[in-house]
Amino acid sequence: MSKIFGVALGILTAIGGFVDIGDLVTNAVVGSRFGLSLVWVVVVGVIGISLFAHMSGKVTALSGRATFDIIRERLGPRAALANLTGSMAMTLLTLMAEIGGVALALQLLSGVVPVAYVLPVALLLWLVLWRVKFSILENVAGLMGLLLVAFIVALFQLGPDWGELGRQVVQQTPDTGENGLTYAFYAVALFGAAMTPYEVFFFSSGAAEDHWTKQDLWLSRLNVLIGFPLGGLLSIAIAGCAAVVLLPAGIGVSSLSQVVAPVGVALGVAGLVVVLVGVLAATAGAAIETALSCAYSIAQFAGWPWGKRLRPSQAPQFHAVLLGVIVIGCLVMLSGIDPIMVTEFSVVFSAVALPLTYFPILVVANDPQYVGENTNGPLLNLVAMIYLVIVMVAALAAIPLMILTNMGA
Amino acid sequence: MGAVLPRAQVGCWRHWLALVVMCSVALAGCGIAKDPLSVAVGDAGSSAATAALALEQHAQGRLTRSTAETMIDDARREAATAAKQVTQLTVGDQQADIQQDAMDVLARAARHLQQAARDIGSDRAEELIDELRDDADALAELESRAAASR
Amino acid sequence: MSDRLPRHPEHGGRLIDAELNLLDRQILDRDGHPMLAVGDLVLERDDDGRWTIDRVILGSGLTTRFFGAHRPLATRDTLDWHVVTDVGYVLNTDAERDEVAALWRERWWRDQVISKIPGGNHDPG
Repeated sequence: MSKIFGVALGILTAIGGFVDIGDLVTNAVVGSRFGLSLVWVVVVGVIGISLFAHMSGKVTALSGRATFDIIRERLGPRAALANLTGSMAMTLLTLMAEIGGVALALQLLSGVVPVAYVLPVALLLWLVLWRVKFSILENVAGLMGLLLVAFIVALFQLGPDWGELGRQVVQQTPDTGENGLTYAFYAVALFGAAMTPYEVFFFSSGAAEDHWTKQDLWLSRLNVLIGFPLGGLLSIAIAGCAAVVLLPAGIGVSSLSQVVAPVGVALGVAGLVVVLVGVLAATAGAAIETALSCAYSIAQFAGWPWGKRLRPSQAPQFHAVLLGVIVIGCLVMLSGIDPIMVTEFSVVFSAVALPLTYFPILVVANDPQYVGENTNGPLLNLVAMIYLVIVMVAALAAIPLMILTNMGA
Repeated sequence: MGAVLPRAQVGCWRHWLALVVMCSVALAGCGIAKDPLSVAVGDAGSSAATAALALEQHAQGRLTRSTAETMIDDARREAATAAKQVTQLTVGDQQADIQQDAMDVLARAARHLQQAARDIGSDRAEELIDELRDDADALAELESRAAASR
Repeated sequence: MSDRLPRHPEHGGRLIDAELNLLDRQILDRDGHPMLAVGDLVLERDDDGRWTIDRVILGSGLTTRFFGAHRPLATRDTLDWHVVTDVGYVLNTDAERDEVAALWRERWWRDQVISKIPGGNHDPG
C-alpha cells in the first residue's frame, strides 16, 4: 500500500514540479500571440526531457554516480569545466528568474511591490534548504504545484471552441500577423522552457539523494512517462487559456498578472487565488531545484562531498555554494530588474545550453562501465540521436533569432 | 558506443558561434526585424486592452483588487515605455503621420490608464472600460497601418 | 578505435588503464565520503627500472592553470598510493578524513563558516 502511495507521490510531484516560471511565461506569451499553433513544440520538448531525465536517472541508479561526476570522468576536467561554466550561468539565471517569479506571485496576492519580497524570499529559500529534508522539499513543492491544474479547469470553464483550438494545434502556423522569424524564436524559447537543462542534473542528483538502486528504475520510468507528459498538459493549458481570453482581446503577455488573468475570468477570485498559490509553489519549488542544481554541479565537478543527506558540516563547501548562489540571485533581483525579462533570457539561454547537458548524458547512458548491461537499446539511441540534432539546431539558432527578432518583439 | 572516449578538448566551435552571431547582427541591421513603430504601438494597444480587462473583471468580482491593481500598474508602465519609444523613433515620410496619430492616441490612453488606477471599483469604471477599449482599437489599427507602410 | 588494451605480461591482479580508470575519478575516504578527484599520478622508478605509482595528485589544478600558472609539484595536494584500497567506479581509500592535508579548504569552510551557522552540525534535515 505504501508502495502505491510512493508511486503516486512521485508522479504527482513530477506533474506539479514540471512547470516553472519559464513555462508559465513562455506558454502564456505564445498562447496570446500564436494561439495553440506551437503546441507541437511542447510535445517535442516533453518527449525530449522525459527521455533524457530517464537516462540520467538510470545512470545514477545503476552506478551511484551523479551526472557531473561522470561528465568530469568521461570528458576530462577541461571540457567538464567549460560545460560547468555554461550550465551554471544558465542555471543561475534561471534561479534569479524563479526568485523573481515567487516575488511576482506574492505581489499578485498581496499588492506589495515584488522587490520588497526578494530578500525575505531568498532568506526563506536558504533556510528551507538548510534545514528541511530533501524528500519533504520535493513532495510539498510538487504537490502544491498541482494547484496549477486550475489552468486546465479554467480552460474547460471558458467553454472555448474546441474545434477552433484543435485546428490551431494541427495547422501549426498562426493566423495572426506574426512573421516566421518570431514564430521560430518562440519555438526555440518554448523548447528551452520545456527541456530545462538543470532538471536533468537535479533528477540525477536527486536519485542519489533518494538512494535509488536498480530496483527503483521502474519508478523512474513511471514518474517520467506519466508525470512529465501530464506536466506538459499543464503547459498547454496555460497557452490555451491565453489563446482563448487574451488573443482575441489583443493582449500580448508581458507580465505575470496577464498570465493568471484568464483563470480569474473563468473561475473568479477563488480560482485566481488557487492558481496564484500554485504559481507560488511551482516557482518556489523551481528555485529550490535550481539552487540545488548549481551546488550539485559545482560540488560534483570538484569532487567535494555533497547532498542534503549529509550534515552541513560534512559537506561544507556544498552548502557554501548553495548560500553563495542564493546571495548572488538575491542581489541581482534586488536591483529591481524585471523578473519577466530575466525569465525570457533564461529560457533562450536554456536552449543554448542544452547540448552541454544532453550530449554527455547520451554518452554515459551507453557506457557499460557505468550502466553494465543496461545500455540504451538501439531504438532509444536512435531517438536520442535525433533529439541531439534537434537540440543542436535549437542551440545554434537561439541567439541569432533573439537578435533578429529583438527578443521576440 | 564503446567505453573509450578521448578526453575532449574545447575546440574551435567558439569561432563558428561568433561568426553566426555576427551574421545575425548584420542581418538584423538589414531590417529583417519587425517594424519598430508597429511593435511599440502594438505594445501600447495591448496595455490599454489589459487595463480594460482588469477593470471589467474586477467589477464583475472575478479579480482581487491587488491583481487588478497590479495588472493596471504593469499596463501603465508598458504603455509609458511604448510611448517613449514611439516619440524617439526616427521614421520615414510614409510613417510620419502614423507616428503623429499614434502619439495623440497614446497621450489619451495614458490619461485613461492613470484614471483606471484611481477608479478601480468605482462607478466611473464602466465608462473607462469603453474608453480604454476604444484606445486599444485605435492603436491596433495604427499598428496595422504602420506594419503595412513599411 | 579499439578498446582493447595493449598486451602486458601477466602479473596476476587487474590490468587497468590509468587515463580511463584512474584519472579524474572520485576518491572516497574510509567512511565512503567523497574527497576530491584524481588530478594526476606521480610515478616513481624503482631500482629495477619499473615505474610504480607513488602518489595521487588531488584536484584538477584548473583554477591556477586558467590564469596561466603551473603549480609546482611540491605545492600540489597529494595522497600516498598505499592508502588506496580499491579501484572501481571510484577510488576507495582507508584515509582518515581529518588527517588528509589536502582537505584544508573544506575544514576551513566547515570550522569558520558552516559550523558557526546555527544548525550546521545537526543531523541531515
